[in-house]
Amino acid sequence: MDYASLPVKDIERYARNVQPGAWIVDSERPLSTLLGSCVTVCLFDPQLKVGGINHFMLPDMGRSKHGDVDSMLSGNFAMEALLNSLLAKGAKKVRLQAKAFGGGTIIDTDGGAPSIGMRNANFAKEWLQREGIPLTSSDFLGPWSRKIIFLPFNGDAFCKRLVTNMANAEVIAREERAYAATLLQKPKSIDKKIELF
Amino acid sequence: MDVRTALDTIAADAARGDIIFPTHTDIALRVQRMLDDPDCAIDALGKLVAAEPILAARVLGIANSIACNPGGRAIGDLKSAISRLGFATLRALAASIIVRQMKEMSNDEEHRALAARLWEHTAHVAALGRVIARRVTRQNPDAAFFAGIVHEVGSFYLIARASAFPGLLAGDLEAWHGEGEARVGRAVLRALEVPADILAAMETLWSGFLALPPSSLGDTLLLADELAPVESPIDALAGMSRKGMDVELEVLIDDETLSSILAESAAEVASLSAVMKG
Repeated sequence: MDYASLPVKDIERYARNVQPGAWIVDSERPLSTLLGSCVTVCLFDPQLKVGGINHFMLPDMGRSKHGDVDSMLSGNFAMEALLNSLLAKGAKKVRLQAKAFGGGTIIDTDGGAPSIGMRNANFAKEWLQREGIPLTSSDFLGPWSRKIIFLPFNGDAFCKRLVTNMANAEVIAREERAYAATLLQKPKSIDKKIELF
Repeated sequence: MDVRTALDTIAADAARGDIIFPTHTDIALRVQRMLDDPDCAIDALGKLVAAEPILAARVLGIANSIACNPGGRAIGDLKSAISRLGFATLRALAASIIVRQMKEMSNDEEHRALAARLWEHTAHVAALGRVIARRVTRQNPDAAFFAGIVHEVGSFYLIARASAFPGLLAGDLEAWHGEGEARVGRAVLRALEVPADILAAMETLWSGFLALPPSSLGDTLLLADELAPVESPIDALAGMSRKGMDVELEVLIDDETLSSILAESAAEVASLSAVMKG
């Protein structure tokens, strides 16, 4: 099917949804994701015509020892998982282009400290800059949740800012909290596999 | 009557074609029709424009603005001003008279204040749209200007009808955003005989999906709407306001950023929106 010729609303119906914490690389079907304070980075290799998106947030480690480092490692994992999946498909890092979205504040916070969304957006921008991948388009911050549609075969991205009422903000926030909670869990299964010699 | 039922009633009335435009928009409508005539004579057009003082002032104002007169050579007569602007811009300005006067249709003081704010937003979107079309999306600037002028007609019509539905504009207008606005807007734009490319751009606006980087006329309009420094008061009632928060919308256009292009074009946008607001 020639998805690129369809109106965006129709493309949305065919899109594979990317859940919080997940990433998908594809060269045919459209991808979509719904963001609150999380961010998505869309990476595209224009020569190979393959792309992918992730959906992540930095966990708030509070005042735990090494909290900031652990938080960054979690963000790095989300980005590297997407990058490695693309490289495994034959993409070349030097050709990659990025678009990134999200980091909204959908539930009012106290103000003062940078919002969770802003931390996520800043991380995405800094990671891309560090890796030398150009960020060609972005829509960050504000009070909205966002629906993103990405066509991984041509790199087109569409961003819709959504009315965020109490009810749907709570649904998105609950999903993001559940995802954040998984990020704070210790990977016990990995501990068991470690053998010391 | 709840908000959704009231919006359904207004949309159904509009779809039936029960749309009443202000009586003093007659000349602006005649200008539109004269522009549809391929043999339209500029002399006759100038005389007709002169009979509508607000339209005449706006034609002269735009013709002498930085956007249309970067060389600073002032024009004082309507015929020369129309020649400088072209028929497409004149058509947009005639539409602006109709839209602007729709804001006078309500007798309610609060509704008129809301409409005045909506007009201010409209002027910004039209001005920004013209610049974005020329510098960013490479679309027809006149078409973008026109689209900006008519992009809130549905909301103006909503305000004009609101007094028949007490409390409508005090409640939650979430149902208006997207489909409600599109149903009413389509009907009003058809009554105004708006060209097909403008209608297509409006469909993009109502869908809310902005292509990044923006490319079409619809993207031009949606981007101008999202960037306008004065927000639509109806958007605020529908829960789409920025709520004073920072927003970072950035696009690379060749080697330039969208924000640097807009910073360079700030004077042009200001000159256009100032004339339109007047």
